[in-house]
Amino acid sequence: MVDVTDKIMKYRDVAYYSGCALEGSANGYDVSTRAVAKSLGLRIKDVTDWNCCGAMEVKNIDPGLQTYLSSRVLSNAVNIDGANVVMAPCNGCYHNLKKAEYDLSNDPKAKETVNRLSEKAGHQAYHAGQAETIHALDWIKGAIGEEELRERTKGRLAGLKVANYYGCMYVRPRHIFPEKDKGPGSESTSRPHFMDDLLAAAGAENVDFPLKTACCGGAHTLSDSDTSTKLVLNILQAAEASGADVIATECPTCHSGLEMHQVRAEKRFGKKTRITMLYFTQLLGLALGIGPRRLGIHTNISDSTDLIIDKRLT
Amino acid sequence: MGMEQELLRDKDIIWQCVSCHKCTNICPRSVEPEGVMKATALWLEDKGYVPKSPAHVFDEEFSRQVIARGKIEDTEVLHKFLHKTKQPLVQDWLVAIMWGIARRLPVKWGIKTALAQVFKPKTRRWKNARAAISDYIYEEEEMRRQKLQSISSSRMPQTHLEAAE
Repeated sequence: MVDVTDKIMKYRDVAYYSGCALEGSANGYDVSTRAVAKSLGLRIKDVTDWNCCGAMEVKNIDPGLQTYLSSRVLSNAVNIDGANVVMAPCNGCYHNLKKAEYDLSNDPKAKETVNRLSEKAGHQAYHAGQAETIHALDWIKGAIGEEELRERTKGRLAGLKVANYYGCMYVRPRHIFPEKDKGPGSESTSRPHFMDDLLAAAGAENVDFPLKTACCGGAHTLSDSDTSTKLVLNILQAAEASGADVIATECPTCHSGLEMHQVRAEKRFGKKTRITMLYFTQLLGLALGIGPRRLGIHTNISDSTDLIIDKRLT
Repeated sequence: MGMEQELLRDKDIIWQCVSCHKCTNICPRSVEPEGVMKATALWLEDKGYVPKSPAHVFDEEFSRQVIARGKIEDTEVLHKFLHKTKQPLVQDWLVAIMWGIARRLPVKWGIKTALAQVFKPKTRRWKNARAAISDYIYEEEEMRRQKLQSISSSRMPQTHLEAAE
């Protein structure tokens, strides 16, 4: 059993790994995460001189290289920033750091490659177990928890129906997430619920959404757009059929994939869907009384202006 | 295992694996099918059975930026990929997306994105990492080339299915 007090304290001061997407096109997720951190009194410090985690693309070219790239981020967080918790809002980064942790614990070849490349690159090699990687959902759930969130948000999301979309990299393959599926209190890889819990604490109504962990085809958004458009259309139509007003997301690739292919589905296949997408930190930000522009909502591809006005979220 | 002909039957769709890991999650023998799919797709290209897939072109351009600078810049990945696959930059859905955002006047973010075109995001102390990675890639590719040459490509005896056709 994890001591709850310890967990909360440890997550209140973390190394922040935004990743390339949040620094670039997923600006809304980055600014809303920082705004929520400030509002809740949580300290987040950017990992010094971070690099790309390797995403899916470098992993496809060479998995050993992707493990090294992720390990360099962890090494900087531990050895330069003195951190023992690294928080990543992006599913891709989170997945990759977790995968690097698993590889370094279980694969001698990966460990040897990381050590060799780290020495040649002139920095200390990261060793498994030096830092804990958590997702932004773990961070808010652990550092704040539903009870405090309920008090601070005063049910401001009441009347909003949310379909919570987690995507695939947050839960699969389960062997790299040893802390999940550990019974009550832990996250589930088959029916994840952390985002549902946080938004419910803020007053939202979570609809029964069957495609929570369906893949959006994010890795193929540009290189195989037809496949991604079809996968995304399934998700959008299921969310609308479930009666949701908005899809809450916790990954920039999933989020922008849903938004881009919503437009493409209309232009190329004539299939129009009306639902919009908001990052869960944007929804929590609104619930904490932060203005939409400060949360970067206007930089999302899908336009949630009408939704925010209709549901009186500001 | 010498079952090249069997693999060739799926050569046109194998690269469509999106790495959702449903297969890896459920495999009772820990085979990691997603890894096998990726390796097979690469093998088909290396042996010359298929041209380089768009997914591979995308992966290479993405990786090129990461190796050069430590980070990627979103719009550069987009336009270089479209250029390398001889697709137009101006497409109806991409224009609709750009216009949709621009209408909402994201001034601060617009300036940041414009500046990123000139001052590309990069990892500062990256020089030594770049050198180490470049050596590593060269060694790995050399090993792959040698392995490919040493694997015999002669046909195994027909399977009973082929014999029956």
